[in-house]
Amino acid sequence: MIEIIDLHKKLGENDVLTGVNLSIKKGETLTIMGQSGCGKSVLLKHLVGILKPDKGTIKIDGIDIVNDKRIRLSDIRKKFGVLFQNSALFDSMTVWENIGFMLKEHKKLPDSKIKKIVTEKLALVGLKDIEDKSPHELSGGMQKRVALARAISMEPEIVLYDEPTTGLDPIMAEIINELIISLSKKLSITSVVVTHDIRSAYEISDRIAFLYGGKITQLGLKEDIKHTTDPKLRQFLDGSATGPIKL
Amino acid sequence: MFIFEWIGKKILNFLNNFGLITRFFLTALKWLFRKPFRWKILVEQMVKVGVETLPVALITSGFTGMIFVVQLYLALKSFGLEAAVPAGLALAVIRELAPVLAGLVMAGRVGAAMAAELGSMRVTSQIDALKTMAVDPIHYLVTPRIFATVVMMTAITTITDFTGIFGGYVVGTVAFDLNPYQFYQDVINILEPWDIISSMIKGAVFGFFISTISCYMGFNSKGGAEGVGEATTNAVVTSMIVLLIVDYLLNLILW
Ligand SMILES: Nc1ncnc2c1ncn2[C@@H]1O[C@H](COP(=O)(O)OP(=O)(O)OP(=O)(O)O)[C@@H](O)[C@H]1O
Ligand SMILES: [Mg+2]
Repeated sequence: MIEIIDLHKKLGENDVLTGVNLSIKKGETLTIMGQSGCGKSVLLKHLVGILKPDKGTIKIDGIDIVNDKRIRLSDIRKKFGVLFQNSALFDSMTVWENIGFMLKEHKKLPDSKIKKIVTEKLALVGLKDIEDKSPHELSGGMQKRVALARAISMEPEIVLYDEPTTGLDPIMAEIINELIISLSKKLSITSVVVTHDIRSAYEISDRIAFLYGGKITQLGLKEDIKHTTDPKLRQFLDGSATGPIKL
Repeated sequence: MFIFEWIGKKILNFLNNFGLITRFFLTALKWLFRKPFRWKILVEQMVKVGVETLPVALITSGFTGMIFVVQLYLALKSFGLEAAVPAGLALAVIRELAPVLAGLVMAGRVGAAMAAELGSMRVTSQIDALKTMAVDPIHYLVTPRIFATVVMMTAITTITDFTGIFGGYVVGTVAFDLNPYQFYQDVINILEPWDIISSMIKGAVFGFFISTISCYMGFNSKGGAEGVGEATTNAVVTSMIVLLIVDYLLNLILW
């Protein structure tokens, strides 16, 4: 259970988040949609404590991760797997070292065991035989999938996906969609997905939230969102250049 | 005037950052005593620092020793004091030239490399990724780098002490016909253990400032590639200026 309460964040001169309220239930897949630059990635970064809000707070399973001084953020973070928008693979490490990083750091597994798990995770994202490559030898889409394999390496309770299918071909995007669904069903992972890919959002989500003007303006089951009459969300979903959304 | 203004700005900027850098270092220091101790990264960094600095430091100190003896010999000869060349060489190299040259080479190579590496990790979210993977980036990235640089700077200064004097010895005995045995004796006699120790202390202190400043600059880079470039330049320039100021202060303290 993730509760985001009245979250405010100003970055530079820009009021990015101006009172976000959102509860994400255990085991659900919630998709956050919104225009480019509206603060989706910034919002995700708050959930793992990489950014600190100016006002408001976040509770993970009832623990206030912003204000509670007794908790160690690193313990909370072990519950999470995070897929960064730009992959953020460690470029001084090989693919298997990247994916096995947390297994080595936190579980102290021997290399042979780690390599076995890495190969399994790579297979899940449709990759093989690239364990010893370095990230810069991979295409953008492959990097994204390696980063996804890394995010799920520790079988986290909560996975944050920042644009998991952007930059992938339609077939690979579909494979990733199915992977997100099966992870959430099989391991009852809580998934928070940021995406522009409306088709993918309809496919994977239980609920969809629309971030606009620094707030969640629409939130509902995907069927309800599909048939929304809110003019701004309608314009976004229909992808029309004219409408109430100011650019 | 422009150059003074520019240097002044850099120094002011540094003073502004002084508190932040101190806190940054204290955090890194705190992590030095926490488990796990990152041996593997420490050794990797030591090798890297050594490989990057040693060849250039050797060449620089060797040649400086050679040139220094040429000038010293010419200057002292006119007073009939060429016998003082070995002692002058030994003191200048050990107390000043070897640690400062090693430090400047280190700042140019290692400082720049550290700032660039950490800077690019910052702007591509790799530092954020470390955090989300429940690993403290200062513990993982900064502590071993500072530790490795301090250790290696101490070692490299000791080596450049030797190469600097050796360079001067070769020129003095070959080009100016100074007696090799006498040269050797003069060097040994003028030097005291404290000279060698304080040379190493200087090296260690320089290594500390170079690595702390460079890691700090890289770690806090902003923006994209441009920000990384800026952080790298700042790291090198700030390290070098601080190194020279600290060198002056150390001269007052150590001798
Ligand atoms: N470190 C930062 N410093 C200053 N401003 C920032 C910073 N990070 C993000 N911003 C600003 O915050 C706003 C939201 O950025 P964010 O990356 O969250 O957008 P987004 O919704 O993820 O967009 P996209 O869909 O293009 O990824 C943008 O206007 C951006 O310029
Ligand atoms: Mg984004």
